[in-house]
Amino acid sequence: MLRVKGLTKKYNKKYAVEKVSFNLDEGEIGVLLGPNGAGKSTVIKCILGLLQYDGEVKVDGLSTTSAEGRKILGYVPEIPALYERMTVREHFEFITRAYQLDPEKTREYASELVNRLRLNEVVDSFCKDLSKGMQQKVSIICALLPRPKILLLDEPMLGLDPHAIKELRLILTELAEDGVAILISTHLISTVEGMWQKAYIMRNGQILYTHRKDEMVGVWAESLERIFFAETESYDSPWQVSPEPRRKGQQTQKKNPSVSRPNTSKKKSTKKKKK
Amino acid sequence: MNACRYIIFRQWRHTLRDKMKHPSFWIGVFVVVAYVAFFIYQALTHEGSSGRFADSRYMYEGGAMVLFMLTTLVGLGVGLLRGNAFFRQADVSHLLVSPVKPRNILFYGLFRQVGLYVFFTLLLAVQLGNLHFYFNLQGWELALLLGVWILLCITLILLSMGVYSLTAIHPAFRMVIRLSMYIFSAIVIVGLVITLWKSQSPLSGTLKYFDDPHMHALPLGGWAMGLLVSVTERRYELAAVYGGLLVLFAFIGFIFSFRNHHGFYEDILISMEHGCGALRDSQEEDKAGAKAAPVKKSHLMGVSRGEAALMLRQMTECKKRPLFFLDWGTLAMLLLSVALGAIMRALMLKGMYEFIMEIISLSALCYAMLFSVRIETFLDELKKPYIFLVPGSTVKKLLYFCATPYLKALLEGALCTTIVSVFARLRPAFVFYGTLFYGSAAILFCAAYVASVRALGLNRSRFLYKLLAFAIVTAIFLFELSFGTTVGSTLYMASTSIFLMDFLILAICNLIASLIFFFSARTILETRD
Repeated sequence: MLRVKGLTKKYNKKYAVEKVSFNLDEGEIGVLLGPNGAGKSTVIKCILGLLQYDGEVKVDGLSTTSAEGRKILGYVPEIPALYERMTVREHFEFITRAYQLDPEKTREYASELVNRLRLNEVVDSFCKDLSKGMQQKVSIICALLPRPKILLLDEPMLGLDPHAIKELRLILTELAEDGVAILISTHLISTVEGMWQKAYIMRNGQILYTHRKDEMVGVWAESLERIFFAETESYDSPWQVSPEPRRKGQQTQKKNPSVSRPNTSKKKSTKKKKK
Repeated sequence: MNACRYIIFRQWRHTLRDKMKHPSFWIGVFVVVAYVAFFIYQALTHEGSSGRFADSRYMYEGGAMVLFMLTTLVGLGVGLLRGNAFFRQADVSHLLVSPVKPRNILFYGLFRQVGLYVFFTLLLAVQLGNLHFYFNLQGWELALLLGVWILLCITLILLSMGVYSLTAIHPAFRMVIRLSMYIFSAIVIVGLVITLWKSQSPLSGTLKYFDDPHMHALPLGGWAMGLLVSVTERRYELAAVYGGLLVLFAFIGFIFSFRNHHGFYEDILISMEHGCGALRDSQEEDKAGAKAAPVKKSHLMGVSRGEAALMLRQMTECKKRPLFFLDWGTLAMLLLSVALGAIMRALMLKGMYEFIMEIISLSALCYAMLFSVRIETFLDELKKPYIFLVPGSTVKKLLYFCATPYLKALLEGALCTTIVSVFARLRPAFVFYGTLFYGSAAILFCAAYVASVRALGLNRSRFLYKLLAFAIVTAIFLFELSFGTTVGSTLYMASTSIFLMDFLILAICNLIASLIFFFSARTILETRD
């Protein structure tokens, strides 16, 4: 569904994203993880066609800069940005027009999403009068209204209340079941636990590790947070290491996963750097 | 276009509904409409006594040329702006990621700049009655003027679209076009200064200069004027050339904007969000040049503690600008000083007294300065909580907080008075006393602005604050005019050489008034409501 091949974004001499490749199939939920400045948001913006890039990005075989490609993309930005002098309802109307959707069906779908995210009382309010969390909810609904085949979410849970996080997780899971490919970039790893299928750990504009949930065993399959820290902390400080994630078929060397292995990880980190 | 139109009209509708709640806006609209209607009525009813300047066509043509040139500069300047001038964050999140065509999005962005053309059109509309009345222009000539004007506006809108889409993809062109604009402007200004220097009558000299047929060679504005004059003089071949050039450039603008493929999206996004860390770093590297220049430490001798830290922060920001405090307003003031100096020199040749010229120059400079003081940033700063949290006296905080506008004014005053003094050959002491008065007038305006914000509350329009501050300062200036005349004449009687002390006394008056305003507005920093 989403094919990213050799995606490179360079600002003058500096690489923001370097040769990033990954695929996301129908109904898969992929998670982009990484420290600040790793290039997660840049990847999403390149996929959206907001930034010019080298490499290839295809959505359902279409270019993301074509009108057809854009019709099947949904995007939730990191910071909710709405038209201050338009009401929530008018935002939905705008999306209906911009994506040339069926007004009646879209109205029904919007009403359902508004109910689920508890925005009923503010649909006729100006967006400037909404709290940040409410704006984020409106932003999410706007992204979902065109019923995209690929949904890109940049820190979608930021500013949401616990109920909204729960509801959004549910909505995303339902969408994935309906065949929507979802790519989430987030720092709040706990919010995507249990719903991811692929995890991409980024650093310095590159994908360092790709994990598939169905390949993981034991505690590794259960905790994305554990995988993330195992991969990133061993890289950051070689003398303070967590064990590498175990995959199916891989021999476990030590019983206790929290035992440090400074020497091996140091080698690993040097290898990565050389690479 | 449907979606873009929806956003524009919905927002206009809500803005108008919002304005309905503010009678001051409608009073303003009424005044403008009444003003235009009055001029049209005057033109229609005073037919018999018309044509006072019918033999002085150069005045009409020179004035039109100035308007065309200004519009051209503004129109091209719009095309050179970064994406965040046309679009907002909401457009990036919703419009740029939608299937709406990039050309429509570009047009939507630039449509929001149409207000500029509406403003200039209003200027022209106000003068139509006068043109008919004073220059005895016939209906077809007025229609021709409007037609040429509309053609110029359409060309500029399309060209600014093209320029923007070109410079967003190839930023190097931004500098090339900007440089060309500077060169053309510099040539016109140098020519104007020389004309003023030689001319005995500054106003007619200026208008004759702009009426010169050589001016028609200037791109766009000049061509439009060439078209107007050629048709009036029935030289249709020449008119076709000028008209053709305008249409050609409009077409080029359209082609550039039509052919872009999302190239400008990146410019919008980056200028909106300042890009990601990598871009920011790389841009800083570019600014610093190939060699990484050492970062200058921002210490301000002895005034970086307590309330003064507020000023330090603003100074640190100013230091990062290419011209420190100075900006476009300063450039305008410097140009005005050159023109003023030339006019003063012309008056001097006619035997005008030196002290009168000093008063006129300083009054004109201070009056113009009121438009260029950028105290509006005060309101933006008030949104940040740190100013309320910094411990210390609120009056001191206000004084330091507004320091950059008047420090800029002092520097600007020194430059402007020096230019006027050199051109008009005034006393060197004028520079010193003139600068003091100029700076104090800026402080007074800042204080009056802060007092206006305090008096009207924080939720009023910036225009209203400025209007009130302007009214307050004008009232004080009027008082100072009578007071200064009394003191000045006494000093002049005593000795012509100490007459300039009058400016010092008036500067002290300004400072006292400023302190009173700052003191009365001190509560503005006590709560953040």
